[in-house]
Amino acid sequence: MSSPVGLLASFDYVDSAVNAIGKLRAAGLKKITAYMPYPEHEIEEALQYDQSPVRVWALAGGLCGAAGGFAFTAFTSMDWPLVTGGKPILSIPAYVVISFEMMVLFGALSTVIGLFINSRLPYIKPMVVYDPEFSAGRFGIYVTVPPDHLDQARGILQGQDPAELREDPVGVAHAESDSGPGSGFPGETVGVAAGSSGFGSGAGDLAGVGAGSSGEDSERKDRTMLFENLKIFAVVLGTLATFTIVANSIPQVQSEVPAELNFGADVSADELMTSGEILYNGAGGCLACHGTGTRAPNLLTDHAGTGLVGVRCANRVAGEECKAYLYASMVDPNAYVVEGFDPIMPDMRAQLSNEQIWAMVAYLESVGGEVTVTGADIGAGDDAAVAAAGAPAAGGAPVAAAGPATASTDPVEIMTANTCFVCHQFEGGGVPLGPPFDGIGARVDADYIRESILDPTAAASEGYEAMQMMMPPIFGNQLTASQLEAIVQFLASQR
Amino acid sequence: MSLRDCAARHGARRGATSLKLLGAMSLAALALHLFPGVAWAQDIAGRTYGDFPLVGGRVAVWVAAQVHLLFAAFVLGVPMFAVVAEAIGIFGGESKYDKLAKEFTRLLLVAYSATAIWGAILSFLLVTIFPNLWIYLAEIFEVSMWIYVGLFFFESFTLYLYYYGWDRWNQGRAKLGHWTLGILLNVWGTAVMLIANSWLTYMMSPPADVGPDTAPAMVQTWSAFANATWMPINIHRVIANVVFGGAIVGAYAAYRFLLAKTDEERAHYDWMGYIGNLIAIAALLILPFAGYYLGREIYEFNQQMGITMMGGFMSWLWIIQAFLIGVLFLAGNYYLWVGMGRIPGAERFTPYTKYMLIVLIIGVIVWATPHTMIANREEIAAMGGTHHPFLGVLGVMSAKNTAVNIMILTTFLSFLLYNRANKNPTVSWARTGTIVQGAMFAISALVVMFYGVYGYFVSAIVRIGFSVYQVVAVIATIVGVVAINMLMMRGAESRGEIRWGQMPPRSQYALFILAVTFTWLMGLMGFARSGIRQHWHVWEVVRDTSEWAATPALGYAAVVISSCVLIFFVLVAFIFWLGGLAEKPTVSSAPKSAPLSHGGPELAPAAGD
Repeated sequence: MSSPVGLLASFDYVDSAVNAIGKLRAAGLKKITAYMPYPEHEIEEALQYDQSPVRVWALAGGLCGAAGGFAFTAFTSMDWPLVTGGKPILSIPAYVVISFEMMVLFGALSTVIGLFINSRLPYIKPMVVYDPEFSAGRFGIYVTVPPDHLDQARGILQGQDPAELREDPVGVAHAESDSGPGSGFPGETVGVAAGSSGFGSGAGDLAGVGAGSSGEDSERKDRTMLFENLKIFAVVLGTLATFTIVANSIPQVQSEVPAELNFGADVSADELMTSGEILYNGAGGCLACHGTGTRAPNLLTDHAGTGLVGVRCANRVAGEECKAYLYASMVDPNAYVVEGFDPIMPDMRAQLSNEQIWAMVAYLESVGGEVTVTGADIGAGDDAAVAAAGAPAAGGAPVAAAGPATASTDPVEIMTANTCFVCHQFEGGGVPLGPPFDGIGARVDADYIRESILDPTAAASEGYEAMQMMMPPIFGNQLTASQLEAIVQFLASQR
Repeated sequence: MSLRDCAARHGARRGATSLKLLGAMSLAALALHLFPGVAWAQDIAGRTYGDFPLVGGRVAVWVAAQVHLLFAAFVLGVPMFAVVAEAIGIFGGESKYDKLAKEFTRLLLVAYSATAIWGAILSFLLVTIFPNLWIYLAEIFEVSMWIYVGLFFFESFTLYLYYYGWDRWNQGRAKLGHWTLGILLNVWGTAVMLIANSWLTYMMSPPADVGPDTAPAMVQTWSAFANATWMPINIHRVIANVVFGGAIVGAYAAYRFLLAKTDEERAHYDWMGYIGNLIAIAALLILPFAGYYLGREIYEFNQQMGITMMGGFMSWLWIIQAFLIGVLFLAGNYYLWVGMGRIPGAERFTPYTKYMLIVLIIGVIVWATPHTMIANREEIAAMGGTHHPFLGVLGVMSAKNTAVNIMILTTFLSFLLYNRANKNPTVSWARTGTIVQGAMFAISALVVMFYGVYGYFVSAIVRIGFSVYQVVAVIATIVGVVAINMLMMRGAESRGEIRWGQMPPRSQYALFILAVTFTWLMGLMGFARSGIRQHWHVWEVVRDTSEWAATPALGYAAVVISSCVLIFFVLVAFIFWLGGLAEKPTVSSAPKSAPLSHGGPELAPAAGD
């Protein structure tokens, strides 16, 4: 036998462990690892370890933090000088609080980092010596000895009346212990679990020592069982809590029930549009396909240069009204499959009432166009509406947009009629899908604005590159020259 | 008495006794037979609902159905386990497997009662809270309900014979007859499951010719029974039950391991936990394919339903699912890696586990990356586009398929290393065989990565087809490597016996996490399956007009699911405790020096067994 051998002794009393360490060290056996159920300074002293190097980390971190905090506050004061109360720019008393806080922060962080580095953590590979009793009340001493000192070491350990003494013929524990956890805090291996070594039996053997010999043991076992049960319960509860918290931390989307709608003959366009918008964005379930633009055309943005749905609906089928096209698309969806998409749209009559379908038609008309649905349409029933749609044309190639949405030359009216504020914020309204109009004149000039309206693909504003394709390239045909210029000059003046 | 009146009475009597309920049900059944031609649409429009204190009717039925299903899965999955273990004991000549099978079956007795109790609770809640739905389904499925009860009767008595006859019929032909009883138990159980599945799948995917105005008496029974999603659900549930059974057995073993008093007990339950985990993870690897089949059939049945499930309001559910499956992969692998600590020779593989851990974590992160989410204009604006500018790249199916296939390969590699840890092949071509196995892993990973990257440069329809190539590469590798390994390990030298029982306690907590996660995942998938009907009791046939018709968001669902899982585990803990309380000693108090068998603990004959 030429390789070193490991001996593991398990003691009931700390004094025995301390004595054993002292005698082993006196015999020249220095490769010792101690296991404790709680930090015990006597063992640390017996092992003769130096003071923890972690405190140097804490000191260095704290000093760096304090210096950094002072430098940070001083630099910001000098970089943006503000005279306050006639005091000098560099007013040191005011920096003390920041410096102190930075000192605490960096000191704490560097202590943790130092702890990890000195303990060589993380140490994923399991330790080779393990006994749960070391976490439950006993003290362990593991020593690696050359074969010729084996009897001597065994005698020393036996002399301290160990509860268990076993031999590891491989002696691998200390072969690795120099680089393993515990090098920095060799004694404080509390709670570290590990695999097993070459011992004939492991945890179970030690757990069985002295079993049933006294009422105290029995009580201890009952406590252990109770503790194990509580730990199991805690693991189950913790797992459930984690899943529940994760599920509650994501966006919460509820599948709503479509509200029942009953419209009279004099229903207003606004009423229809509002009801339709609620349905479209909620219980109608439209966003699942039309919201992403990948399964079906996005109905809130431009599609392939044909404009918003309120504009392009009138051009999809020659001679067919917008509302008739939209209605037919919902009750006979396979008749109007937009090129590039699969026929996956269901007949919405299975899910929605006639009133609900017409309300959605009204809302979609309002996205870029004018609401033309009336109470008479709803009262006419679905057959009449489908018939009104006429024979559908396959494909439905994009055609040029219609003429001006309004005859006005007032820039705000023009932009309202052309639904610019659907995607651009202005004076607190709108959704920021595109660059906001507030202050746009300070960012770009009139030529840039003009070009962006006529050819949205020419250049993208910073931060809105992904939205560039949403801007329909239809306004060159949809605006008169005077309207275009009115908008350009109006926006250029917004500073 | 009209049906509406009858239903109203049912709803109003929610506080009545069971006897009164049975009487009311009988009257309802009588009315159905006397007036089969009643216009159902009218009744449905005017039906009433019952209520339940504190939590409301929906949650009451939800919890009852979910807990019942969990116990049902347990009593269907564990007998499969028991019969296979008994067969290994009979034909392989290893008595420890026979004892393992019996121990499983002992758990079944109480679990079976719990299943029946929760089934009764569910039935009564349905009758009192959703009376019209109950009557509607009863008229369509009445014959199958009677058969169901009959099968339940047969299943119960087969179980009693199976367990109580274990020691009486334990030799020769009698033992084979006993094993046949176990098979019969599985047959009854599976038949019961198939019938119950038809009811719930009918609610998801009724035949196309059934509409709101179709009287239930006019619905063809077989057409309703064998509806579009029936067989996919059957297949998915059979596999899932095996996974679930394995996980619960693993948790049971972990519980007994942690509380074991002797080394022999600890060794036995360590081994049992390993077997449970092995079965659960192995079946889990094929479960996604059954899931794909079910998903495809849902899309075939109704595109809107499929899109609602995958891309509609439930789209975030799949992120949670990815998180859960990530936990399963990590916990399952962790258990194996820690278990290698008790295998002589495994230390040579230990350094590689950290790399496998890194691969798994990266895989989970990619898999759990959101991609196509429904978004309104404000959300699109906040995100900077319809898809996230950076995460959108990782979230596409190319990346996710690649991630999950690499995770499966990594988990399989863990199993392989675990299996080979204490073996030293002696065949002359061992080195070549190992190189070939390594090459198969490498080629498979390269194929998966290649199609994963290539998928970014082709259209979506082409990209979907790539997943088939990736899966085929992984399956071919698993089959090929296993075949080579079996041949190569014939007559292999042992580097030492597995030291069963020498597992750190933390490994057992991994088994608990596995069991809880599997159970939670079942609850989540149950919510997905049921929730895609949205505000329909029966999809586009019977509308839910109750105050609970809206399908709740995931956060709410998670609270209910967690509650169901907690109820289940509290009851299972009680069953485990009963199992320990009532058991005769199955492990002898042999001397500590008694030798352990190869591959598992050799147990002394149990006293009195």
